[in-house]
Amino acid sequence: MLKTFEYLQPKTLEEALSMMKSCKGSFRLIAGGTDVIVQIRSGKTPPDYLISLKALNKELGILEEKEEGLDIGALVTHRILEKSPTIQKEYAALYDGVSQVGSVQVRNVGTIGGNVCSSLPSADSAAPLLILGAKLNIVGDREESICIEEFFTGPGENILKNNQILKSIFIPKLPKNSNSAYEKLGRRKAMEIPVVGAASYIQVDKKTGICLDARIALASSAPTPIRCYKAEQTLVGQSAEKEIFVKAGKLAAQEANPRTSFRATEEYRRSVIPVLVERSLSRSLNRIKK
Amino acid sequence: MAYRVVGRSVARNDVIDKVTGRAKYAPDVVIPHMLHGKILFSPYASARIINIDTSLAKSLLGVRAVITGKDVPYTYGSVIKDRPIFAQDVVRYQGEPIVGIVADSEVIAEEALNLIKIEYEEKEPILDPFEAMKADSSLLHADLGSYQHNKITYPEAETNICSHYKLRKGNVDDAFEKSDYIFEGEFSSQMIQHAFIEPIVAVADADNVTKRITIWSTACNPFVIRKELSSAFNIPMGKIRMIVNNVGGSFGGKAYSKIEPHVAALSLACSAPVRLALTREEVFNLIVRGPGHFKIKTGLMKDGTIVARKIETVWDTGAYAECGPVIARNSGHTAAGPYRIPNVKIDAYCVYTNKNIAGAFRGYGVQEATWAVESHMDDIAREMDIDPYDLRKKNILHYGDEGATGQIVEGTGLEQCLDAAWEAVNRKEIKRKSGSKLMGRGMACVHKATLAPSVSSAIIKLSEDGTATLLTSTTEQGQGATTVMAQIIAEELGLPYEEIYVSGTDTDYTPYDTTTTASRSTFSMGNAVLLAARDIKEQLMIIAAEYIGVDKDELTFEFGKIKVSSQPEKSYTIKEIVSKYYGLNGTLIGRGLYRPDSVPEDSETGQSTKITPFWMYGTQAAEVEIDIETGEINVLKLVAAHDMGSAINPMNCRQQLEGAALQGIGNTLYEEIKLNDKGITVNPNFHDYKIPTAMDSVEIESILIESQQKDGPYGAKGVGEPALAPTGPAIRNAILDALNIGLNHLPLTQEKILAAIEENKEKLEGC
Repeated sequence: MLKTFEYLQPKTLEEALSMMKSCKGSFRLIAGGTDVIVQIRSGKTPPDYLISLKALNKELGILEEKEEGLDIGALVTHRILEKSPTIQKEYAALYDGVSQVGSVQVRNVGTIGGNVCSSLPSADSAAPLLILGAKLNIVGDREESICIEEFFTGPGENILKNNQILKSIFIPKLPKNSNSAYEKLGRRKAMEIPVVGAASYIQVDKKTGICLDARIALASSAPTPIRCYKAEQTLVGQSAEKEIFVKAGKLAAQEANPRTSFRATEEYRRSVIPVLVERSLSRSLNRIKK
Repeated sequence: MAYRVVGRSVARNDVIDKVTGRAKYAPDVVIPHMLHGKILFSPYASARIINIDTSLAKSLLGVRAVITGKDVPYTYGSVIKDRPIFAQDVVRYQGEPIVGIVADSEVIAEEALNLIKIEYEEKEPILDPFEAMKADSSLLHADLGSYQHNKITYPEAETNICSHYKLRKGNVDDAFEKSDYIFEGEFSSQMIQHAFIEPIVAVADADNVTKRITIWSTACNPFVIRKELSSAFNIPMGKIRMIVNNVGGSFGGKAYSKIEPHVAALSLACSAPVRLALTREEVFNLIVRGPGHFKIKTGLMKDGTIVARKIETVWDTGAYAECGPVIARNSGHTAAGPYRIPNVKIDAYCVYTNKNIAGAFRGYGVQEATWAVESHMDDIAREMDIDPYDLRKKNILHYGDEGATGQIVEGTGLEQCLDAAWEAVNRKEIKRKSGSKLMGRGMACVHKATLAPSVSSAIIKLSEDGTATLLTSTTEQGQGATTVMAQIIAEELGLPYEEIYVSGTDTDYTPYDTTTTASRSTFSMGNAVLLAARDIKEQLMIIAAEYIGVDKDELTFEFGKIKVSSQPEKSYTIKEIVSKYYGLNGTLIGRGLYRPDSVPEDSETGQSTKITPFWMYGTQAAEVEIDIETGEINVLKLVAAHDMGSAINPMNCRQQLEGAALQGIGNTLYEEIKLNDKGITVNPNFHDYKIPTAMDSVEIESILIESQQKDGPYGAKGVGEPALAPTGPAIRNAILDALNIGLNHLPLTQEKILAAIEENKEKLEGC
């Protein structure tokens, strides 16, 4: 049974922020609730207040295409992102990630902001956002924009302060001859969190096939979603092909710091990271060729 | 002979209620002034209770009763009477009920739970059954030797072995000496949960003065539970009324008492109706399929003839026996495999540990035993370089053969199943290798006995308008029993199928049935229903003779019409006869009682000329692909060919086969209840305990083999359980075919597969 808590429903972002300030006792923000409700039910985090952001759709629920990139409101659901032709075409890794969250029912209520703010190492949107160069727009006493790399600080932990809300996520438009992909390895085909997830982005010189830029990120491979900088560096300036992808995969496994849990052992995660990284890179490359 | 209703896939008679949500289940029961119960379960797997302080909880507003083991110092258990309702000073597993609370609402009851203070002395749990079996192990039940138990349980006093079942046939030692080849293997199966949709719920309405108790529950053998309650509380059976409406899946997990003793105690404590509903997490501790361990040794001649098989099995039954001893025994009927083996020796040990309580799971140990023996069969075939199909074909049980239990085989369906399944999976050539993926095919056979002895009884009420109502205590758990029974009556009496009504179970009104388990209902209850219908027919002939004014011998009954030999142009309907006979009102009552033949086993050898009224047979085949870089496995196709005697409702039979086959995929690849080193369950929910989703479903081809069971109703026998068992070894043997690697320990996770690939790189070379 659920622990009792007070349920607050602010109507505007401003009201939400002031409620957060005036709350006496612990609180949690709730959007889709697919993580929060499960956590409260398991008794791990019974807050005194739940502040629902559901009524803030006008301010936080907009998916907007701009000249310079894509603005995704924190309350945009996985399902809306999954159905967006722009995301399917231009931000393929994000499509791969959000379309594999839980099930259709979960994706209909779960939000990208919630997925990022839960800050679980296994978040399916996090690795794609890391390699797409996402910026997080955070509001509180003032509004600021930070790189997603600076956001995660530990399992379930991030830099957000008690008076801050993630408002939106900005993803810059990708340059020509680049593409991205996310490979997820789970134990079943739906309702699953990754045992390991690997996202990649590469840009190649169409004429020479040389890799001009690369980014690699992993899920469920460290206490937070991580970038694998060494693996990325080894790709730049090299001919984009399987051999170097395999090498990058091995480097990524060295950069990872996976743990043993009842879901999978550290050894298993380490042995599949290179495979997933290589497959992700190969898929990114194939998408460029198409 | 052509039938009109039997053998047709008529729509289920509960379909509208279930699709519209009108069907009533135990959780839907609401009684005026109903209170709510909650149980405080032990957080430790092994402990001594020093002190329980319930004073704060008792003083909470809205709390109506708080009871502990001291208030109900009774034990229950129909296999071994070893189980307290609430702990008596000793905690033997995580999840053991310690305190029961009744309150005005579930929320208050839960608040009250938090106010209870218990002082425990935590002890090191015994989690390894092999440790538990050692002579110097501490005992979970020091009084095992003095506990009451049933006739097919063989406890060893002063040990943790709550039953040691033996099967002895021929002389295995001599036969091994004469064998050309001897193969040995060790296998294990893991702890899993039934994952029925509906958690366990019960509502009791009891009066402390008259001791009259009515219980609505999710049970699948209410008469067994009535007996357990009667014995535990020392209340006559007639005062206990068990009502079971629809049950949201059981798979054996709702057999025997679950929370019925607790809800009865809570209701008696305050003489008011009490509802007790377990959470999913609580269900994970209360009932599981326990882990099993198997050692098999087989002797063969050069030509592949099996001459001897020796099997030792260890069944980790958890803190209380539940039906573990029956599982150990029944698995012994199957463990040697469906083969003609003159020399067999089986020792099955059922062992107490400080773990979740193990009970029946769709086959009473047959799934686990089949896993071991059918995996072993393919290992033998590979070692001897014989095709696994040929090895089975050579040794399979035929009509007239004597099985391991001493019973002569009467059916012929097994070989048909073997041939049909293997043909279906080999119809197309497969590509053995594609990129990082290797493909393979495998098969496994199963034979399974049903329960014996057992009793089924049925009453049919034929109303004056010619419609019939069946009173039966077979519980509808989703398996389609009410439909099959209605089909049998419609066929036998020539009534429209839609006009047959089937009751739920109410032990005050519906007649006795042993249990809705063991794939026994279609056969046993089906026969009782058939007898009741024939009783109606007999009475109809008598009253028709009187009404028409002819001799009874002149009458014939033809699908709902009574004809007179001297008036070939005339016929009379049932409705006409019944309504004319009674005038305005009245019903005919038909009675059926069926007790299938069986012969008790010899306790030292397990031998019996008829251990079971019928055997079920089946063969399943799987086609799989394995990604050798990640260990991921994809089941591409499953074939399930099973002998059901005859299919009274073919669609229903296919659903049983497909459901069981898919459940088997989960049991084989994904599912495992994990305990930490303190015996605490770490994944008691469907996020962390993984069952297949719709997305994980695979192509399943079901093949119905109809060998006509000679004493079955319209030739039918059981089909509910056997299709679960061969899925695992068929997948495992397909992996063996693809990788040349045999995996012996369930579940076959991708992690285990990858580790095996990395360990056996050289074996993969040839693939």
